[in-house]
Amino acid sequence: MDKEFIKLFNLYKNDVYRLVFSYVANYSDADDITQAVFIKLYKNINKFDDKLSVKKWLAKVSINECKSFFLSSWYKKIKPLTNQDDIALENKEDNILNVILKLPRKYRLVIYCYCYYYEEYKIKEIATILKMNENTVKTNLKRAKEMIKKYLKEEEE
Amino acid sequence: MKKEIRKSLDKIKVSSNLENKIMTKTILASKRQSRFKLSYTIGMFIILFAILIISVNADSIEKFIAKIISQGAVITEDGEKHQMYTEVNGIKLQNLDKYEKDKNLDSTIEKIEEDFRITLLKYDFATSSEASFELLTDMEINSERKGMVDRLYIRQINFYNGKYGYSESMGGNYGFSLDIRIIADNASENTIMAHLEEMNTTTGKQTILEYHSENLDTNVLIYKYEHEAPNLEAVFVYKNIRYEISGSFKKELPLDDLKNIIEEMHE
Repeated sequence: MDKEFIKLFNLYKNDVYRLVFSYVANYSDADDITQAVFIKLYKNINKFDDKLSVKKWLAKVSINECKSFFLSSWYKKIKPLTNQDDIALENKEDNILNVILKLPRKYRLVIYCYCYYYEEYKIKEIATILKMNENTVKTNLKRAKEMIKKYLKEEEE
Repeated sequence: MKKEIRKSLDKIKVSSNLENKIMTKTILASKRQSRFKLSYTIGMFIILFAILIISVNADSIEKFIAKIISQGAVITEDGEKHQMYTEVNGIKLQNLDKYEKDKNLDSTIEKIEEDFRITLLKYDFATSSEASFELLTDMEINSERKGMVDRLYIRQINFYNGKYGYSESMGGNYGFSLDIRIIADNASENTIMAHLEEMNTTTGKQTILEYHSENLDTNVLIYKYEHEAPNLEAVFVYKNIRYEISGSFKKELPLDDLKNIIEEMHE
């Protein structure tokens, strides 16, 4: 196997996994989608010029894979064994993670991008990755933050 | 807040189990990719090799096909015996440009008529009944070029003194016709028609037609006849029935009609 692939895999495996998990909020599905993303990376590894483009590409592919997963007949037919409550139990000491997992899907994704891409990319580029309007990204981010604050406040009470 | 969220999300990591799974799957994918590349390369090589063989041997293939379609020998007026494919190859290919460049229509017509001043070869039908019909159908096909010449086809069945016959006509556009009389003893009309159909089928007419259509579409095939109205004579036995065939070529199209056809051709 290519050394370059192993290098990229080690560099971005957690980023991809986090992004996918943030979107699907399910460990098993995140495993499967992450695997599919890296197999795609392996098949396209010769097409990249720099690491930044790899990171951007991986984000795009991960989101696309997640969207395909949500559209798949498999997803529509099955009921996952673990749900968000189970995940919350696993992370009961981590309130913030539990709160994030309670957010609607689109807000989770925006929050993830806000945390991990905000330094490197402008809102415009994040909007491109997410295939959203810039204003929509800003609005979703604002609402997500508000919801997190609200949930945290509720938890404290 | 951002730092806190990130701190939480940082806890989500790829498990070693998933790492191994991804690596295994990727190895399998890479093997599959290599196999596909190998199959693709071999496939492309085979295709290129086939194209090379076909292009190099196109001439040989042409002769080969001609040989297949010509089992019977033909005898010319001077008694010389030729394999039919030689005669097929011997047919002059007249490029249409030759006529189109000539601005004088009358002289163009003269040239065409010159090309059609022809000797009809005398075919030895007796050597092979199927081959003899093959020759006839071959004429039919060769005359069908660029839509300028109607194909030879059976126009009518005639009765001759209680026996049977049929006549064929070569395409009206060039103004030549071929009338053939077939006399068959002790056979009904239906039997004769069935035999004619069988013989036409077994001679691979369709193959010849397709072959010429694909390879010679820019040319006109013209038979060279040395006499204006030579005769065809043939006697052969097909399925226990003795056939006598006689026929002749006739020039029947008026010059004015020919002129119109050439004008249409030039448009």
